[in-house]
Order: sequence, then structure tokens, then C-alpha cells
Amino acid sequence: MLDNLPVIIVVSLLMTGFLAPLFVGKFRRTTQVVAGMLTLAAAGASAVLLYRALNTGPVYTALGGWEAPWGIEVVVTPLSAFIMLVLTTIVSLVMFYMPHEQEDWPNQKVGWYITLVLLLTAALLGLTMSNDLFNMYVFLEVSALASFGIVAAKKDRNAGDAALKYLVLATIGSGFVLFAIGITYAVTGYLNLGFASQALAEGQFHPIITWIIATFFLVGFGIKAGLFPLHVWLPDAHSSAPTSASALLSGVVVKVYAVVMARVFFGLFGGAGLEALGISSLIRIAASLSILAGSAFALVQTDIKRMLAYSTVAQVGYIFLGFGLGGVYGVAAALYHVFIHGLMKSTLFLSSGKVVELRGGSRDISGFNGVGKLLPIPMAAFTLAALSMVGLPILAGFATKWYLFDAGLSAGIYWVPVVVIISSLLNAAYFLPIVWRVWFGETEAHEVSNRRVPGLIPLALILAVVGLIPGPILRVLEEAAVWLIS
Amino acid sequence: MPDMILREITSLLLPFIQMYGIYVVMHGHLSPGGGFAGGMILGVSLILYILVFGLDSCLRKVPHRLSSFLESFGTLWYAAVGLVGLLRGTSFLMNKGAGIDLGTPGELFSSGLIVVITIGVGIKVASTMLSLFYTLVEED
Amino acid sequence: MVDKLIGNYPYLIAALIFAVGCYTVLSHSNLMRKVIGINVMETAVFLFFVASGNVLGGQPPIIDLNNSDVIYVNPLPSALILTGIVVSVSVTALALGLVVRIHRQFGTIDADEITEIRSNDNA
Repeated sequence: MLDNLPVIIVVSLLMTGFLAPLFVGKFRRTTQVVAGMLTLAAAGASAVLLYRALNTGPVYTALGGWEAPWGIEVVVTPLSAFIMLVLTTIVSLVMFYMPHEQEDWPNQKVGWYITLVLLLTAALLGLTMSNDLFNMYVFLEVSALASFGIVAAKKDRNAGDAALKYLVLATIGSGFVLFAIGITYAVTGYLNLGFASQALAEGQFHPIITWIIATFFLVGFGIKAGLFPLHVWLPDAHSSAPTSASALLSGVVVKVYAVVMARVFFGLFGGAGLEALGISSLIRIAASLSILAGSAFALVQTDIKRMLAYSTVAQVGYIFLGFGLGGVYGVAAALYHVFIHGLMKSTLFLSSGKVVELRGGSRDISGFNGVGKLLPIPMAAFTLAALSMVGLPILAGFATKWYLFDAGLSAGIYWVPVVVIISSLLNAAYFLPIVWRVWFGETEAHEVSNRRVPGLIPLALILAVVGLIPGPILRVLEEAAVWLIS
Repeated sequence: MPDMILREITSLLLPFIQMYGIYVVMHGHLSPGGGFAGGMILGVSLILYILVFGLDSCLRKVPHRLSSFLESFGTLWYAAVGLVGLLRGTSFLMNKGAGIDLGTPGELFSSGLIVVITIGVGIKVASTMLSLFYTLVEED
Repeated sequence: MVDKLIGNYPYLIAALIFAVGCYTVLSHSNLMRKVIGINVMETAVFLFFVASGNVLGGQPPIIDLNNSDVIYVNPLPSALILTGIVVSVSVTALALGLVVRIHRQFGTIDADEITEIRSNDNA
């Protein structure tokens, strides 16, 4: 039974997703609650899988009973289980926020939105646990289609344009990924990651072939994850989406694509192979440019959601930098940042969404003046998340920067610690003024009718706890990193 | 005049197109094609009907609710067939290992659950193509 | 080397069509042309995949029950590409729906004009 648990999670999410529009007409509230409960159950199941993977080794499931390499294999390593746990936790907490946001949406729209979010979750889960290249491509496309849908959910004109821009660029990315998969299959004859990597290592291929495969994968996944200079769709798409969709996209979706890229790279080529190809240094350079350019662009924004979107570009740069540095500490830093940035960005988006709602839909940063008196609890969560992004010591973001600093120094790549320090200063430069405005700004006092932001408090609490006690999680991640690299 | 020629020829051809689509779906395990290609042929036949006879007459035959229901129904059918393997104690999407009788190869009713899944996929693809066309053509 | 290039002509043509598709998406400003461009790109990748499954001198992969030592063409890429084609159709349908919506909201489907309208909105 436990062997089939990964498949059961994905299938149950898919089936519920397709049942939701049928029931939302009469049972709207029930459907929303059931969807949230189901993702919470999926989070619990992922925790069970993580425990099993850490103690007894990875869980291999062959779909349909056909063993690899003839069949499709699904494997749950500590890394996959950890990402699944993070993904389902954040999605379930955002799903508890969704009814609040959807109060004045028509029934049919609520139904389809829930379908798209559940489909997105199921596809991302399938993407992390799959061990077969073409299966990964199918889930990549399904998650991309679902995310196009949730970006286009709002009625205003910018949303449609942003969604089309995202669609065209993401499809180009998928085309590159499929081309790379095609070359791998044509050259090795296997679609299974394990067998293909063995064939690539043993067969005496001209080095340009492995270089082409690696580059096409890098460009394809880089477009989808928002690596500089392929990030141009990200600010528009993430700022024009509804609040819960922005939280999901920035907090979860781009990270999973980055982790899958690392999985494919380390799985096909191995850490040493990547260094030899020169891909690692390319990733490091692109990641550092992401960090610096994203932070610099975020400084000049006046729209809060666009600023948070550019900040996502910068933070995804940290994750790529960790993967580019390789080694246990670099990869563990990247995975830790996947976890806490998911929490931080969702908290920031949800609390900013409340402020935008308070100001009648205006997303200008001046709307944040003095909001601390009007909405104390959401703004406390916002402050906690913002200070964590800067990387102050007892808060969550500090561990990532420390590990990246350490990994850069020990690998002898001295400009990496410099980039980490400069980026922390830039983060402070655009977050601290907002925090100042919130608590010390001036605004006319008026009563706020509805102060609740459901789902925000658990996110902020988890963030605070992880910041204070990062130890156990870092141990788990170091073990996951070892699995990834070997 | 040209309108009448189109209508007469289409009403002669449509049954054959749909028959061909059903043939491709049912012979998915014996010849190339299968659920996707057959479902697309069925969907395109319905789109041809819309183009020649107008949107309203097709809406009378296949209203919105029916096509949305068929879409969800197709997916749930696929998942349900997959769960047959789970319910019999083996893994998801198992065919032979779950004890389904495979029959002799080359016959129409052989290879266990593959035919059942193919029919579900065919229904889903056809209804999805129709829904997509409705969404693109309608005014609001 | 030239005879190797000519011998592998499906792959060469696939790469060429991929480049043409990519160029179409990036250079034209009309949104419909961009959608057609991504379709062309995906078609090129499918061609590459299917061509890689070809076995010289092989029969179509329908099992002949009477003789058992016939060489068949690899059926796996064709099955994979069927899935890929369905994905491509869905993406194209979604893109066309979005283009219709953009036309209704902006009044134009030229990307440059849309950028200008949006910057006037924000100014």
C-alpha cells in the first residue's frame, strides 16, 4: 500500500480537481473546504513518505507493473519527498485564503479556479517524483497550462496580455526541453534518468552532444523558472494574477521548476560532469546576474506586486547559485531557500493583498503608509517576512546566506560571497523603507471592517519557527543533497 | 446555392467521418491511432457540423452542460479504470497483473483494460475539442 | 562529413524548422504570427523525435502474427508524440482564446501597439 502512496496522492488530487466544477453550484463552501482538506492530507502523506525515504531509502514504484526501462518509474527520494511536503503545505495554506478572496466571484469561476489549482498541485507533485524524462515533460506541460489559467483569472486587460506573454515564452521553453529530451533519447535509447545517465557516461559521445543537451535543458527550464535574462515574463505575470495565484506562482511553481532542472542535471551528468562541461559556471554567472538585476529592478518599482515579482527573480537566483556551486552545502542552501522563500513570498503576497484590498485595489506602495495601526497582525507577518528576506540573524533567511557564503569561500570562487553581501544590502534597501512606512507612516484613521487574512498566521508561524531552529531541517536537507549528488 | 451544396454533401459525409473516428478509437490496440487521434476525428466532425449548419443547431444537440459533463466524465473514467488495479491489490494501472483476461492478440476484444481506457480518452478528447470551439466562437 | 550531414537529413530539417519557428515568434509583432511560430517550433521537435525512431528497412510496427523475425520500426516515439501533439493543440487553443480576449479588450493584436497602450495606462 505504501508503495502506491505517491500515485494515490496525485490521482486523488486530479480526480477531485475534475469533480469540483460539478459540485460547486450547490455546495460552494463545501467544495472549497474539501479541496483545502485534501491538499492538507496530501501534505501529511508527503511527510510520511519523507520519513520513510529518510529511514529506509527511496521508494521506487513502477507504473502499471512494467519495470524500468520499459515502463515509467516513479521514485520518492528524500529530496522529492521534501519538495512535495513544502509544495503541499504552502498550497493548502493558500487554499485556506482562497474563499476570502473569492467572495464576490461567480460560482462557475470558483469551480474552474479550484480545478486549475488542484491540477497545478497534482502536476507539480508528479513532476518532482517522476524518474522518466517524458513523464516529466507531460507534467511540465500540464502544470504550465494550469498556471496560464490562473494568471488569466482576473478580468482586467493587463491580465490577458501578461498571460499570453507567459504562454508564448513558456511554450518556447517547453520546446527546448522537449528537444533536449529528444536528443537524449536518440543518442542513448533510454528515457529513464538512471539508465540514460549510465549510457551517457559509458558511450563515447562527442562532447558537443552532452553540451547541447545541457544547454537546451538550461535554456528551457531557465525560461520557466525565471533565470536572468529569460525572466522577462515574470513581473507581468506574477503581478497581474489574483493574490492567491501570485502567492502560488512565486512561492511554489518557479521553485519546483528550478529543483527539477537540478534533478535532471545532477541525474544525467553528475556534479563532476557539470563542472567539466562548464555548465556549472554558466549557471553561477546567470544566477548572480539574476540576483543583482532582480534586486536592482525591484528598487525602482512603485507597484508592490511588481516589486515582489522582481524580488522573486532575485531569490530564484540564490537557488540557482546554490545548485551551481554544487557540493553538499551549496545544494542544501538551495533547497533550504526553496522552503523558506516559499513561505516568505506567500506571506508577503497574502498580506500585501490585504493592503491592496484596503486601498480599493490600488497597488501603489504609498498605500502602505501607516497601515500598521489599521491591520496590526497582517503587517506583523509582513514585517517578519520582509526582515527574513533581508537575512537578519535569528530569522529564516540568514541560514541560506551563511551557507552560500561558506560554500563560495570553500570552493574558492571569491566573487560569490561578494554577490551575497551586495544582494543583502539591496534587499534591505527596498524592503526596509516599506517596513518603516507601515509602522511610522501617516494615514487617516478609519475603521477596517474585515481584518482577517486566513492562512496567513500559520505561514508566519512556520517561518518564525524555522528561523529560530533551522538545525533539524538543515540536517534533512544535507542528506537530501547527498542523495542528489551521488 | 453553394450553401445548399455544402449542406447536402456534409450531411452525406458526416456519418462516415464519425464512423471512421469510432473505428480508430476502438482499434487503438491493433492499429495506429488510439484514443487521441480518434477523439480528435470525432471532435473535428462536430466542428464541421458547426461550420456548415451554424452554432445554434449544434447547441441544440450538444448543449454546454453536456459537453462540460463529458469532459469531466472522461477523466474520471480513466482514473477509475486505473484504480481497478489498486482495488485488486496490485499497483495503479495494472492490466495483466490484476488478473484481467487478455484474450488472443489480434482480436478486437483483447488486451484487457486498454480498450476501456481508449474509449474514455476518445470521449474526453472529442468533448474537449467541442468545448474549446464553443469558447472561441461565442461572443461573450 | 557532408555525406553524414546528407544521410541524417531529417534531423537537419527539424533543426532548421525549429530555428525558423523561433525566429517567427521573436521577430513578428502580430500576436497571431507568434502563435503560429510556437506551433511551427513544436512541429519541428515532433519531427525530430519521430525521425529518431526510424529503423532502416523496418516495417510499420503492427505485429504480424505469422512470421516472427521481422524488423519493426520503433513505435515508442510515435506514441510519445501523440501525447505531445495533444499538448500542443491545447496550448494553441488556449493561446487563441487569449488572443480573442486581448482583441476585445485592447482593440488591436499588434504587440507594439499593446505595449504603448499599457504604458499610457500606467503613465
